[in-house]
Amino acid sequence: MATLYDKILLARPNLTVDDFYPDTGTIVLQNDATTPPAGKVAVGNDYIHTWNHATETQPTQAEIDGV
Amino acid sequence: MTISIKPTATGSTIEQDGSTILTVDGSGNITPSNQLYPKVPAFSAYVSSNQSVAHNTFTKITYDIEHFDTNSNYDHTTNYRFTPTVAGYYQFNIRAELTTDYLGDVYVALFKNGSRIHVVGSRQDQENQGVGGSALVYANGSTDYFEGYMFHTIGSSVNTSNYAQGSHFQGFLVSV
Repeated sequence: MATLYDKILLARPNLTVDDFYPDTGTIVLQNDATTPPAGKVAVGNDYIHTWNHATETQPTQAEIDGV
Repeated sequence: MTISIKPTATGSTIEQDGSTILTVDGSGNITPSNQLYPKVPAFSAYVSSNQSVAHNTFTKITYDIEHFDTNSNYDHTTNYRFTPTVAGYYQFNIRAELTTDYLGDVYVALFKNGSRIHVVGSRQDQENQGVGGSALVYANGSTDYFEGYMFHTIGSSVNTSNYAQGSHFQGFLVSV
């Protein structure tokens, strides 16, 4: 089963793993072992916590569901 | 207040207002009537079952079995978080163990009030089965809470080990 990370890379193929790294990344995916906060783009309990990428826009839930 | 020292058959006692507070035996060993040190918050927990962690995603580790929890400040059933009720500086030890060796990067981090404040351990580009570390942080003794998370770059989801000595989350008061 594709993870949220897998689906984001399909929706935004210009991104690399470096964009998600703890020290260098501008995107934070998170899983709090519970239902994600309301309104967050998510797959299961994984959700987009922070999206500060300079050029790539955050995918919508519909985009994630569609890839 | 009256302090008195009274001899006994085997040593002596020190009394405060007529009540024994210390007993000293003939060898100089001192036994207090109460604990010399107050009970302070301290806990240790580990994971009881394998937990799937997706790659490139900070994931809370569900340390759900307590070794001990002296002040009942660790929630091991719902939120897997430590909310100390005594203000002060706390040391935390966090370790996450995987079920086998994987080639990739692994990080473990301490979260305070839902935000990452310290990456306490990391290993890059190596065969990793576990990583851990420590941090010293302040807690206000009421609302501040702490959780352990991990992050990895291994190809897909991996499982944390339920090996009791491998994955653990611990915290204890160092100084008020």
